[in-house]
Amino acid sequence: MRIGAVALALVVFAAASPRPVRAQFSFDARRIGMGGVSLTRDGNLRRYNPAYRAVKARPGTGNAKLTIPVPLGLIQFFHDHPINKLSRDPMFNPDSTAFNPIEVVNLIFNLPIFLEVKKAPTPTNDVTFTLGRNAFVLDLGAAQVLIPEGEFGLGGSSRLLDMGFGIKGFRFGVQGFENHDLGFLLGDSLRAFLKDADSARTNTTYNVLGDAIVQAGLAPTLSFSGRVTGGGSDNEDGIYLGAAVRSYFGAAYFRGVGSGGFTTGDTLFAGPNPVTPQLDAFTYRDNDATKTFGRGFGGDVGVVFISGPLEVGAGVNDIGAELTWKDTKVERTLFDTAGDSLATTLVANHVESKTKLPITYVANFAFRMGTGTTVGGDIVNNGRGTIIHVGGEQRIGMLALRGGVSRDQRKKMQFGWGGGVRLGPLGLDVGFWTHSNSFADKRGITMATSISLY
Amino acid sequence: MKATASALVVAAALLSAACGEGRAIFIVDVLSFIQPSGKDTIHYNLPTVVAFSADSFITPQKVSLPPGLGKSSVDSVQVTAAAVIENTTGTGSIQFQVYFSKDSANVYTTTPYITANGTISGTQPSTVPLLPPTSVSLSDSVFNADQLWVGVHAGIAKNAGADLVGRVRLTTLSLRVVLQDKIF
Repeated sequence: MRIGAVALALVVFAAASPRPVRAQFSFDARRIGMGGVSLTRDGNLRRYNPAYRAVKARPGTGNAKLTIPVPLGLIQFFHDHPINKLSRDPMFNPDSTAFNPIEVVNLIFNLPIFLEVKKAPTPTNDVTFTLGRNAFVLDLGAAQVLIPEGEFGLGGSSRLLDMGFGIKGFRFGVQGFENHDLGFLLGDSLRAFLKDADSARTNTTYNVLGDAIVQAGLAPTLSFSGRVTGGGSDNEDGIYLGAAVRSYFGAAYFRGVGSGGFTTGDTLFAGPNPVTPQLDAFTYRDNDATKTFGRGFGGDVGVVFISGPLEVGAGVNDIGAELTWKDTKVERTLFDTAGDSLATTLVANHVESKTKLPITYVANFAFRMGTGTTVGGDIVNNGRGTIIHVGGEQRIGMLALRGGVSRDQRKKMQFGWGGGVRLGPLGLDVGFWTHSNSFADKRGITMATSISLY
Repeated sequence: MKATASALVVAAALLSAACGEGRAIFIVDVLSFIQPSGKDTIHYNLPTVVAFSADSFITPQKVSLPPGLGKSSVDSVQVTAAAVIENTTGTGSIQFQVYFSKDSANVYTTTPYITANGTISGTQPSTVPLLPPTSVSLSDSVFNADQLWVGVHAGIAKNAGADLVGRVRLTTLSLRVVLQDKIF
């Protein structure tokens, strides 16, 4: 039971965590040293902004052909936790008194690729349970800050593939899309119990409200990107526009909405006094992907403006992307207290339902001063929260100094700094960045190291 | 599928497990488990005119504790108790004892955790101050369980004179159990 409960706790906390894993945004020490900002025209820019298809990679901007992370953190980790003894390692053994589930979750969210030069402290504080026959108060103390007041979860959308061909700025391709979103909200009673040390009550339901969706499919896409001003000049100055129209063919979709928890009985701690599990969930799914698709239309737009050292861009994806699923099965699953089991009933079949893809966007800027100084920033929203990066680099001969800040999805400021040396086609970079794990307010510091081949 | 333990406790313990090496402190209002049965009150009635004594034991009462306690290591335990004598007539003395056990059969075969003596002076009601918060032995295995049985014994001695009639009522009986953070 202990293992199962701890595993459940991990799931709960993992779900509660607003994706700190994204804090480790790159294996490139240069980018980490600039707080996560990328000064090159790759990655998120081309993914989210169709206008960047028309913008050439800037020559001499430090685009590496290959960047290889130096995993000093892994070396340290396996030194501390020998791989042949992991099964008996107190860190992974719930029966050990040294076992701390928070550390395990932090490990998952902050994979030890790079060296942790300052560990974020694992929170510890006393927890007080006050209980009587019909009273139960949980005072988590300082740990109450860990209880989310609003919705928490994870989600995002991605392009699983992008194949196509183009001519004169036009491009036709087929993209694979995937969207998943998992959101939870503590019910009022449970939130008050956990966050406000409110006493548990008899005949009261304590539950978590959930809303989860996953959908995927293919989307034939016709796009255009081109330079609308400044054409013919030998520089990159000008305005670039990009747009794409997309016809979505959803192949699979599942959505679940409901609540789960338990209801207390007439007494909390007397006699057999069982609590009654509570589950009430509606599920929606397409019946047969081979017969019908979830159909919809949407599109992307983007613009890039380049003027000398200044570059500004913005792109928005999946505008108006609403999918209609013509053949949906709707079911309801309830916990049947009489039968002491789950009961699923058909609510409706072969009915129409609709889903939406989240609008995602990126806005970016870069300013190259010509003195070896480049600053830049971006704002990225992949459908669940906005991340902001601002950073810069100063090159002095073969040396580079970098710094930057970012605001993560939990609206916490993080800082990066670092440097590097480039010897011909070989570059060695080091970057430091702060990060906050899910369960502590204090920041840790990671040192990233990487080798780049130019 | 019905849970046999309070899921509230499970949920709470999950969170407490998330609090690293912090201690889990359980404050248990034992009296609240006894009151519904009326066993928090012991009546006495010693009518003879000569000195006399009598013992009264309540039926052991069960206290349901969080299920995780069975796998936890107890760091320390404190027991706090108080009672009031509501005497009608007569004078005498009382010895008040509180017992805890893991099973009902052995409640009164163990050494009492609290023993207090009071004098019934006739002034009504008179309060018998039992022991102040009392530390019992560390890592006491009695409290390392999912359930606890509690017993109360009142040994009453009557002085010569008027009938000794009245009752003893528990007003406080609570536990403060400090655990190492190993709820499950």
